Amino acid sequence: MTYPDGEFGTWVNETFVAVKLNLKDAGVEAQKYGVVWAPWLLLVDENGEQISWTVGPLSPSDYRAWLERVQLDHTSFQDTAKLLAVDPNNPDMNMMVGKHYLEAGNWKKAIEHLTVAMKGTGVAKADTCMDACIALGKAAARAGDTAALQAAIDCLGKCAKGGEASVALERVHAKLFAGQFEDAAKEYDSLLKEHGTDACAAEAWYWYGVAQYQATKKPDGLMEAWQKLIEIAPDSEWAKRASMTISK
Amino acid sequence: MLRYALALLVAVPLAAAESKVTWKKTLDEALSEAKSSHRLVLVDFFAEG
Repeated sequence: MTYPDGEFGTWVNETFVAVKLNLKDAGVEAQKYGVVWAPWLLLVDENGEQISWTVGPLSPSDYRAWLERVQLDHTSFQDTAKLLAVDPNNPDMNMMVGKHYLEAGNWKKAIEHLTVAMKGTGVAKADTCMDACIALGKAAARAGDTAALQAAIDCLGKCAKGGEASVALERVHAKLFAGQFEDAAKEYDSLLKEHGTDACAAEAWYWYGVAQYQATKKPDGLMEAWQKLIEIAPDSEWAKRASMTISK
Repeated sequence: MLRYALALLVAVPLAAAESKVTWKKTLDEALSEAKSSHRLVLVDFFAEG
């Protein structure tokens, strides 16, 4: 990542403790946080628990926006977690806390809270229900929790259509982040053939490129996938990241 | 005048230093400082070349 001098640097120093790690020398940390690409940005708390992550490169404005959003979400999470202790079955608060854990990569806690959110919301609020089902499905797919995954898929069938691709994508991500690059590449390809026009297609093309590169250590498949991504979703955040990486 | 020039000499490098991100060398070092300052840790994994 390129860090602009000036006010941004001052703000980072005042707000965070920053550390740069070379991926090839930081195997222990990379494995702990599931890092498979660079630049890869993490925010962790003082105990080393992951709060959020993203891949770069990002423009300075996008970078700052991400940091500010995560910081704000973390503060809200801490406040909501205290309230949840008093009202543990509140679906809205469970949704908020569950999504925080999902973003942080704490699948077990995410499943626990999102299950309560999904059951508590019910199909009467279709949008919220779909939101809970998809989030639960993502966490379950990453955790390999087949019972929770099936519950999420069953619920999706009742409250909404269209979330299946997002959940399927997360199942493939689980393989990629576990280092099963060849399998992941094949499954991204299959998913894109089936769901190539869904909202999550841009994200799938991005990671399809990464999986191909990691499987072959050759840039051909990566470039082909990212060119396709830039062609089909030029305004997406994923296309921006691919373009910035290609232009370096 | 001399006092002004000295103040300028001291102030300029300080301002420049403040504007760059200060990087810790290890995660342990960053976590240790985060504990004492109650800040979150920003970790930037990079690849050389």
